[in-house]
Amino acid sequence: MNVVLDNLSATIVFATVSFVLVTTQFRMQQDTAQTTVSYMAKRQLLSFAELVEDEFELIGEEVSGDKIVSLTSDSDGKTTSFVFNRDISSVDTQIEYRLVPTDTVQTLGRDVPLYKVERYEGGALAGGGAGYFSDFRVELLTSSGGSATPSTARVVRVRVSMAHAVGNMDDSSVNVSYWGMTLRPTSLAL
Amino acid sequence: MPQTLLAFLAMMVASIAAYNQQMSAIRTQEDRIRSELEMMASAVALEEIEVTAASMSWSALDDLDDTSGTTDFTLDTVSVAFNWEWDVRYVDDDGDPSGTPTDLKEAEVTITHDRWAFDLVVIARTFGL
Repeated sequence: MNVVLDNLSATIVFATVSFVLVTTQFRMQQDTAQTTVSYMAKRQLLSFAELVEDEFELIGEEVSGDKIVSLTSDSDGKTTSFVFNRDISSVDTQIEYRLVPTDTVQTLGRDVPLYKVERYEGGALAGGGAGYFSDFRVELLTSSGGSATPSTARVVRVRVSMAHAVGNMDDSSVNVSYWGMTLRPTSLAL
Repeated sequence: MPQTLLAFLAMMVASIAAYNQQMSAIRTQEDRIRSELEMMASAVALEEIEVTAASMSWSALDDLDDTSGTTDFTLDTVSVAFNWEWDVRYVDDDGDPSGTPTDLKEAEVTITHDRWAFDLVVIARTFGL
């Protein structure tokens, strides 16, 4: 009888310890995967942010025509197209940032459409961002922060979000990265 | 008896390992949330600098000193409120605070969030007369 009890106890202890260790190992792997996905998403977002920051500062720089040509948004307020002129190699060049739908993912029971921001230079595709943007908004403001038109804009505000759309987004506590910037392009002040 | 002690020891070691892993996961999650909020806070700070400070005349910058308020970072379904506080002071040509009036004023905005006691972002810009 004692042998049976010993074996039973040993089995219970072994099962408990194994379960705790396997669960711990699984959670560690999950955390590592989430951290990696989050890091990659943020890296892509900041890479795009750098492009926007460098380029938007040059809006209208040394151009003869309109500095900002147009800004169009959809019914949700997302910017679908932002067109402006800037000087590239002493030539007035029209630049467009265009929001293009790519996919839809589900998180917390909600459909989240994903987009790609494509950059066109003189009508030809020339760069842009990854296809995981969940929002992209460019707003034109007056000097004191009020709403402005392309011709009255002095300040440009950009806000972007990028979904960590790899695997099941609900597994992650942080599944969207946000970035924003407000800048006052030198040429718009003139 | 020795078997019982060994079994107890094995379960204790496994429990400690699981507890440490859980604490580490909580710290990582907190760091990631803070990192995201810092990015939002930077956006709010830049907006304050460009829209509030940069639109004021040099002499009017003094009015900003010690003022505080709240601004939301809003995008899509997310809206996070950040607290800001201005500090305006005279600085010398090297950017060091000056006790006497100079031709340079440094406007510094500090962004905080109710979740943390420390400053999330501090951005300063110097304005010339």
